Order: sequence, then structure tokens, then C-alpha cells
Amino acid sequence: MKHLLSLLIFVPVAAAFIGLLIPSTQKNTFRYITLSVSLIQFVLLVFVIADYQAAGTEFRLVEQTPWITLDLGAWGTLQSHYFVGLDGLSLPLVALSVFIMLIATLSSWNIDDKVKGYFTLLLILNGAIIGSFCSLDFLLFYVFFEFMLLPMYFLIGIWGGPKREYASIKFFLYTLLGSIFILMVMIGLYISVQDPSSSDQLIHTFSIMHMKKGHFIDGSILHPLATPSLGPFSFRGWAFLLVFFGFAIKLPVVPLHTWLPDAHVQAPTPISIILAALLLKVGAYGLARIVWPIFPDQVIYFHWMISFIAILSIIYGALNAMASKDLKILIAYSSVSHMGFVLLGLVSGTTEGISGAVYQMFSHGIISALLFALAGVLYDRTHDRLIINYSGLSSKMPVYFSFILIGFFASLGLPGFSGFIAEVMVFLGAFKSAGSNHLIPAWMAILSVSGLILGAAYYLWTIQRMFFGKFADKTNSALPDLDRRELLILIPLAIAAFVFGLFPQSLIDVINPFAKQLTDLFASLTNPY
Amino acid sequence: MAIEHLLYLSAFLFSIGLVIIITKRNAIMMLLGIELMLNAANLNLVAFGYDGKIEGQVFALFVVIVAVCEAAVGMAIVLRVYHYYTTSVPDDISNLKEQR
Amino acid sequence: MTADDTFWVTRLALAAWMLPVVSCVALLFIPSGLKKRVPLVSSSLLFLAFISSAFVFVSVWNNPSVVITWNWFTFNGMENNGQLRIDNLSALMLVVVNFISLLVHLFSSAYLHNDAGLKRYYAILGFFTFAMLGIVLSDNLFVTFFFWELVGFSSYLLIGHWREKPEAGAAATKAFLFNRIGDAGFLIGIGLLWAQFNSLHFETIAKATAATDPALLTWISLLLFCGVMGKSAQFPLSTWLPDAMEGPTPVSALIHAATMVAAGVFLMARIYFLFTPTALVVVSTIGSITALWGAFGALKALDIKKILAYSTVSQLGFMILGMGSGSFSGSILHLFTHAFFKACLFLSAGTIIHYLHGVQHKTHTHFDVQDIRNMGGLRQHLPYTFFAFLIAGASLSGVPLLSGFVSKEAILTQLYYTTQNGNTLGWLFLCIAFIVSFLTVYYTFRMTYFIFFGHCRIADVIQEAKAERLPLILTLPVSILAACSVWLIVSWNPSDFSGWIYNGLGNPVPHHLIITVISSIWVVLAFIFAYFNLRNKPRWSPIRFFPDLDVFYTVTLLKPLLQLSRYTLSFDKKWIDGSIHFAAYAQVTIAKAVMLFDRVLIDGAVNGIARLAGGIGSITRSLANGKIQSYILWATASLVIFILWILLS
Repeated sequence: MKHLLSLLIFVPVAAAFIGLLIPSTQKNTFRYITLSVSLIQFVLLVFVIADYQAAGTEFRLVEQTPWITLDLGAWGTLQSHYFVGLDGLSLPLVALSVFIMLIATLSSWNIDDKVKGYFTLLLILNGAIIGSFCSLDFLLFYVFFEFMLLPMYFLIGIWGGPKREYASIKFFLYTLLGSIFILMVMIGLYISVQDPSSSDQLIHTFSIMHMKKGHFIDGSILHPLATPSLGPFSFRGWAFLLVFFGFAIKLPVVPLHTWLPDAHVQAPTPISIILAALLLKVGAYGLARIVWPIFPDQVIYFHWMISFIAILSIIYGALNAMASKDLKILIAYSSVSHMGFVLLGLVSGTTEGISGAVYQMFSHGIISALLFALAGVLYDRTHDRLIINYSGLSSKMPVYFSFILIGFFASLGLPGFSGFIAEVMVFLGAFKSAGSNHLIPAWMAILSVSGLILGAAYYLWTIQRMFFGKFADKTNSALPDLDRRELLILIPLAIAAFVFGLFPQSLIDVINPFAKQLTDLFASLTNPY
Repeated sequence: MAIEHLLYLSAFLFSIGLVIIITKRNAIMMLLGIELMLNAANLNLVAFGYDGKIEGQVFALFVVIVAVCEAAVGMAIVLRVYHYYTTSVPDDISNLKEQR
Repeated sequence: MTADDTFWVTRLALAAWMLPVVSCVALLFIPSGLKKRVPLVSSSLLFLAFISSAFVFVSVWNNPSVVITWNWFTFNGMENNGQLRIDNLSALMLVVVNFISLLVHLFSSAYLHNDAGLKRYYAILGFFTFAMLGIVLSDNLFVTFFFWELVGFSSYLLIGHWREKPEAGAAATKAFLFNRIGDAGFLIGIGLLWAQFNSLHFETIAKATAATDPALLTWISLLLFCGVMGKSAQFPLSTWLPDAMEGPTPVSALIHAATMVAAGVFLMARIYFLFTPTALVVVSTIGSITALWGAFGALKALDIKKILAYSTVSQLGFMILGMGSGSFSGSILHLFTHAFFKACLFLSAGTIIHYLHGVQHKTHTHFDVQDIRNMGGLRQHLPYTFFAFLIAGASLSGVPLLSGFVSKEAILTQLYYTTQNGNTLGWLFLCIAFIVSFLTVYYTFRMTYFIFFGHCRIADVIQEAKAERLPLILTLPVSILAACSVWLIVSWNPSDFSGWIYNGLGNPVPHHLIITVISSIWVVLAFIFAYFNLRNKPRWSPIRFFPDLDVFYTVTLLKPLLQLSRYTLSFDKKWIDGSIHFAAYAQVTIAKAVMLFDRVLIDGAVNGIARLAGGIGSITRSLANGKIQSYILWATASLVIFILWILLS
């Protein structure tokens, strides 16, 4: 099959349009359409993985056709391609997206309000997320990136909790700010980068490939050797800062994280799952796909700041999680802490660290989905998530407690779960960086380990307060144990966390070439030779 | 009798006519006022022919004839208005005026 | 060893390792109708595991070690990181762990036969055994750390087995957290090792250490030692172990006395080559503080399990103290003997608790079954248990002819040899070791005396209950363990520690007669002192003051940490969200000001001009009021004014 990736991206979008033709009273039809789209994508994913293994180049399953070509006369040509492809960074994330979307669809089954709109938006979101993970053209990426924002805004703003308007507007404004930063840099790169394939004509291109390979136009503002500067930094420095913070908002990093707890708490369960499992990864993906390869010199220049932000996120997020009174806020802050590990791994500039960061993206996608699904289970029963309102729940809901144990311990990095492999690789990378290329100061590498202790502290304390002791439930709700649908959601997630914790080799094999390439790029810049 | 006396008289008549026109509400009275003013003018015309000039008197005769015609037309209009509006007071006839 | 032997040793070792986890998985899927069969299934699998490990032990002991390697996962040069090694040390531990685990499995079937969570209990017990054996067999720090954490996890679940008890939850959390604190140091050490050597394989690291800066090596070894401190409850991370007694007693015997807490000591033996002399001084210091702290704790405690737990802490400290002597053999020997006699003591305590629970249940009375103040004179009621407790207790105290004496002597001799090498601090450590062994005798005597001798303080209740004899399944494991507490298990000669086990462990020191004599006399003196001290003026707790580290940690660490976390959360709300809200409000305010400007000034000017024109218009319009006469009036007036103006100008 030639257009696998396009199919993967546009099947949900097409389904969304078909869905528009169906009257909104047919609630179940929309559910089944969305479910079947997810299943189709799952089948497609199997083909994608098979094709990926068969091919041998850096980017595989590439599709490239001209999209926008504009003759600007004396200014050259504007060129943007419909350019998609997969490598070691994007394949795990595309697989994760398909998997999580399936889980989110199942988890959306009990949404009963404005079903048509909900599932249409979900399908559009699905296409946009996968599209942004596949695209290799900056403009195309940006279009998909922005397209995620809109469905998310409505999904939180319409189907959310009591303070949903506030949360959705906060989410929207924060992310929009980041998008504007990215837009500015995108235009800067567009001005500075050319497609060298035609020598007689200047072709300005949006292709990330050309940006990565350094096809800069002589004398352009973002040329690595360009001298003009603005204040303390060069133009490249400013561009790096803008695009870094643009994606870092999405990651999120402290202190740009406060949209996350609000959005999570107000969003309905499936949207929380998507938000934590996939949308945060888009930020990390942007850093690894765009910022790191295009601005490696600036990453090295700003290494102290980036490491510091990573450490700050790890510790600050964990501390906030410890003080949180609401189960969902706790999990949201733990996401901040865990995404700090991603940033730490990326900035280490070592193969272990970068592989670990990508592994952590994947693993956090699974584990955070599991955690939010678990929080949703309790919320469905009691409409209350305050930790102090419960105690001794393990006696009433033993199966639920088992999954809580799996989820919490997976998240705090117990061996046997995917989070452990990821975190250990990040740590090893961080220490190696402290010892070799000095991108992460040693004290920060040491301090990052305290994230492990704090992570254990807030999770165990929560288990102790909510699940141990005499049974008490201040909301006085019926507390049936997990039903079949919930098991159908939780079991695959738990199994995935296990499998990738015990048998990491297949995933590491996929990630490693990407990590190695990025490491070589950094090594070529850090080694004085 | 000097010419001044005649001029005084005609000015006096004219003023009376003017006052009648301004103050009297009835259209017939206003017509009378106009007649008075016309006659004051005639008196002036005649008075200025005291030294044998004939033009003034001829002009005065002319004016008298025109005044008769005018009075006839005026009276006819007043009569029609009176028939139509059952009043001969112009202030009460306010069809053309903007409503306040 | 032939290739064929190696093949079988490998298979049997894997069987011994995997059978417990097979038991765990099997129990998870067993239908709840077969709940009564759970202990049987689990124990028989453990029995098979024990048999396999015994075979492995016999074929590996004093033979070249067998290495099992598989490619678990590879990244950046870290190849084949699944590495297991079966040598004397791990084979010995393999047998000990499987053996005690088997006995605990058997004991639990009677001890917990009415428990609702029996299935879960046995599953986790199997999982624990598997994880513990993972540490034992590992030949690679990564594998060690993997199972190191899993052991902590199963310990967490088992301490919190009785979930309805709030104390159990708190103790479980505390145990895991203290272990995590140690493991954080452990992980930093691993990170430094990786950065330095690019490998976590013991052998590779050992080859590379010679050319490494000793200062760095000291740091790495001390950081790895943090993990040991957490797991083996060394000062200052020692307080979780007494709290961990909230778990079921067989669990305490297996995990918190015999095996898991000994994992730290075992790990130290594995990474002994990393420890520089400087690091060893620190290790000894930590060990001696822990040994003293634990011994004093055992003097203060009144709960039978807590006394044993403090005693465990003290003995672990003693082992770590011995590690500082330059040889790990003595400590491993003590680990070996301690596993048996301490498990025996715990299971005896479990028997007593079980017995008193039965009494309580029958008579519907309420008293704390673990408090030694409620016991006394139990030797008539529980003769077998008394006998086992006596043997194991004597072994703990270091009475000659018992295993504890032999292993303690090994450590003392090693410490003595350090002083001969010109190490002045060695004398201090030797003195502390003697003080600790004195205190050990004292608290063991006190415990035994209060439980089994004197008059029974609840005699009437026991009389009323007419408790029947204990089942064999309770007494058998205790008796076996008591039998394993005699000297024969360690060496043929009861006064010479350098028997078959000690000499098989590497860098042994020769036996020294003076130490044997002195320590025998020392034990006798201690017994005499304890006897007269407690007989003449019996006091429940011989010491008044005991440093409560928990209060200290709560005040200095926990409270500030929680305060800090609350502060950061309010910082989020107040300052970060606050500044965002401020920015939003500022924007809205500016927008409103702009709107006001628009409406008042710009609109105002336009409207003002219009209104002016309108005003003038309405004034002039009032002149044109439609009255002919007023027009004439105005016309006349203006004519008059005009004429007057002409005339006057």
C-alpha cells in the first residue's frame, strides 16, 4: 500500500464528514463510526509497522507531493510540500496515538450529551494528532498542530466540568501563545532556508529535512554563522528561545504549566486521557523533531537553562502533586514531573538520554492514560475526587485497587513497568552527560533522582489515605467494582505498561537510530577536534 | 398746507394698516389693513404731484384699479377658505405646517 | 564441571528462580472455589524450587561459577544486560532463601488459614521469593536494581496485607519510602558507574576499578551503600523496620528478618571490590551506630515483634560493622546463621501470637497479644515453642555450641585482625562489637524471661480457654529452624568458625583462639549480669530514653517538605496563575479604557457638533412658526432695524 500514512491521517477526517450527514438522534451510530475508525486505524497500524520494518532508510513510508508553490518573482519561490514520513521518533508516537484513540473512544461510550458534535470533534482531533506526528514539512506540521487546538477547546469547553469555560480559555490562550512563538520562528526559518536542488532559482522551503541539513541561505538571519544580534543573543538564539518555549508550553514545563491542572480537572475522562497521553507528547515531539535538530548549537548554548527547567519541572511538579487534594490534579502534576524527565533526557545529548526521553514519552502516554482512566472510574461513581473524602476503598473495590496499584506503581517507576526503563535510561544519560559532554551539570543529575523519592511519596501517601484503613466514603455513593467496559479500557493499558517494561528491546531498536543520529549531531558540535 | 402734512398723514395711515395686518387675526381685517396701506401709498403718489405733475395721479388711479382687482381676488379666496375650513382666521388653518 | 553439568545447573537454577513466580501467576488465575488448595499448590511449587536449589548448591559449591547471559535489551553498548551468576555466594543464598520461604509458606497455611486475602498473600509471597532470588543471582547492577525495587514492592504489599488496619498502610508506605530514599542514592551510584565505566556488569567494573581515582570510587561505593542502608535498615534509615511489624508474622520472619533485609549485606559482598578503605570506615561507623541503636531499641520495646525487629536492626548493623573489617566472609556467615535463628524466633513469636489469639477468640477477652507484659510462664503451655525459642535465642546471644556463636566469632576475629594491621579505629569498632553482643544477651534474656518464665499474667484466661495443642504445621517449621541453629550447620568444630561455609566465601581469615575464649566468657558474664539485674528488680523497659528518630524526621524533614509542597501549590495558584490573571485583567482593563476614550471623546466630539447644529437649527426654526403675521412682524422689524442702521451710520 502506497498511501498508508495518508490513510491513517485522513480516515478519521473523512469519517467526521460522513458523520455530519447522519441525524444527531442516531447516537449509537456515531459511537460505532468512531470505534470502527479506530479499529481500521489499528489494522492500518499493523501494516505501517510491517512496512516500517521492511524499509531501511532513515525516513520510511515517505509521501511527498507539492502542496503550495508560489512564484514570488525576484524573491524566489515559496514551496511547501505535503510531506509525511516516519522515523524512530514518530513511529512510537503514531502507534501510541492509534492505541490511545481506541482507548479514548471506548472511554467516551457513556458520553450522552451532544453525541454528534463530540464524536465529530474527536475524529478531527484524531486526524490532527496523527498528522502532526507524521508531517515533515513545517507548514504542514503547523497546520495540524493548530488544528488540534480547536477540537480540544470545544471538547473541554462543552463537555467539561463546572469551571470548563475558564479552563478551556486558559488552555486555548496558553497554547495559542506558544503557537504564535512557533509561527514567528517558522517564518524566520522559511526566510532563511532554501531547497538546494535547483541552482538557478532561490526556492524558500518549509521542509524540515532541509532545515535540519542546514541548507541555509548565505547571509540570512538564522544562518548558523550569521553575526547580527539583538540584545544579548543572536537571532538564532532568540529564534531558539521562542520555539523552545512555544513547544515547552505544550510539554509543559514549570512555570508555563498552570493550564494543565485546570484543563485536566475540567475535561471529561476521555479528553483527559488524550490530553495527557498525546497532546503533551506533541510538545516533546516538536522539541525532538524541530528544535533539537535545527538549533543544536543553541541547545548547547542554553544547556544550563534547559537542564534547570527540566529539574525544576521534575521537583516542582512532584511537590505540587504531593500537596494536591484532588486526585486528578495530583495526576496532572505528576505529568509535569514526568515530562521533566523527557526534557532532561533530551538535553543530555547522549544516546541513552534521548532514547530514554522518547521511551518516556511513549511510556508516559500509556501510564498517564491508565491513571486518568482510573480517576474517571471513581469520578463516574461519586462525582467527587477529593482524596480526603475516601478511606479504605480497597475493601469495597478490590479489583479497582489492583489497577490503582498497577497504575501508581507504574508511574512511580517500579521495575517491570515501562516507566522504569525510561527513567533509568534518562538517568544514565544524565549522568553520562555530566561526565562527558557536560550539558547537564552533575548536581542537577543528582538532584533529578529526588524526583523518584517524591514520586513514591505522593503516590503511596495517596494509596494510604484513600485505600488503606477503615472504609469511609463521605459522598455516600454506591461503589460497585469495575464493570466490563472499564476493564476493557484498563486491561490493555496495564498490559502495555507491563510488556514495554519487561521487553523493551523492540521499542528501543526503533528509537535507537534516531537517538544515535541526534547524539552524533551533538557530538560533532561539542567535541572541539 | 405743506406737502409734509400729507406725507405725515400717509405715514400714519400706513402704520395703522401695518398694525392692523400684524395684530388682527381675521383675514378680512388683514385685507382691510392692506387696503389702508395701499391708500397710504396712493396718497403719497398724489401728494408728490402737487406742483402740476400728472404722472402721480395717473399712477394712483392705476393702483386703485389693481387694488380693486386684488381685493376681489382676495375676498374670493377668503370666501373659499371660509367655506372649506369654516373659518377666516389664517392661524387656524395649519394643514401645511409641520406638526409639533 | 563438565558442559553437561553446566547445562543442568543452569536449568535447575532457573527452575529454582522461576518456580516461585510460577506459583504467583498460578495463584492469580486459580478459581476462588479452590481457595483451600492455595497453600498446598504454592508450598509444593516452593518445595520443588527448594529441591532444585539444593541440587544447584551441591553441584556449584567450590566449583567454578556458572554464568547465564541473555540479551535482555541493548542500548548504546550496554549489551547482554541479562546476566546471572551462580557461584558459592549466590548458591548459598539460593538455598537459604528457598528453604526459609518454603518453611514460611508451610507455617502461613496454619497461621493465616482464615484470612480473606489468603490467595493474594501467597501470590505475593511467591513473587517476593522470585524477586529476592533475582537479587541473589544477578551479576549485573541493572538486574540487581530491577529486583531490588521489586523486593521493596512485595514487602510493601505484605506489610500492608491487612488493609483495614490504618497502621499497616502507614508502615507499608514508610517502608517503601525509606527504601526509595536509599535507592535514590543507589541509582546515583549506578549512574556514576555507568558514566565512568559504560557498563554495569560486576566483572567488567571490577577489572576497571584498578585504574580509577580512589576518591571517585569512594563516592560511588558510598552511594551504592545508600541502597544497602535503605534495604538493610541501617541508621539513619532504620526506623521503617520496627514499623514493618504491622505485617503478618510469617512475613516478618521471611522478609524482615531472614532474607530481604539481608539483601543489603549480600549486595555489599557482591560489590565489595568497589569499597576503598575510607569508604569502609564510613560503613563500619554506620554499622556500629545501627547495631547500638537497634540493641537499645530492643531494650526499650515491649511488643514481642518489635523487640525482634530491633534485634534484627542491631544484627544487621553488626553485619555491616563486620563488613568494614576488610572481608565480607564473616558478615555473610552471620547473615546465614542469622537467617535461621531469627526466622525461628519470629515464627515462635508467631506461634505465641497465634496461640494467644485463639485464647482471646474463645474467651472473648481483649488484651494486646503481642505485649510481653501480658505474657509470662508460657513454657508450660507451649513447651515445643519454648524449646525452639530458647535454642534460637541462645544462638542469637552467641552461646557456644550454637551457630550464632560461631558466626559472631568470625566477625569479631576479623575486626581483631584489622586492629593488628595498625588501624586504630579498629579498636573502637571491636569494642562496640563487644558492647553490642553484651546488649544482645541482655535483651534476649529479658525477652525470654518475661515470655516464658515467672508467673503467667493471663493464666486464668488460658485456663478458661482450654486451648488444644498446636497443629504440627506450626511447630514443624519452628523445630526445623531451631535444629538449623546449632553449630553443625556452619562447621564441624563448634569453636572454630572457619568451617566449610566460611572458607568457601573468599578472603577468609584464620581462627584465633583468644577471641573464642574471650567471647565465650563475655557471653557468660552477660548472662550472669542479666539474670541478677532482672531477677532482683524486674523492670519492663530497662532503659528510659531511646531516641525517637521518627519524631525527629517528622519535624526536620516531613513537615518542612509538606509545608514546601503546600507553598509551591499556593505559589502556582497565587503567583503563576495570579500573574496570568493579572495579565488578562490588565488587558481587559486597557480595552475598557480604550472603549471609554472612544465613547466619551471621539463620539462625544462628533455628537457635540451635531447637537450644536441641531440647537441652532431649533432656535431659528422657532422663528418660522407658520404664522403669517409674525413673519410680517419680523420682516418689518428687520426692515426697521435696517433703516435705522442706514440712517444712523
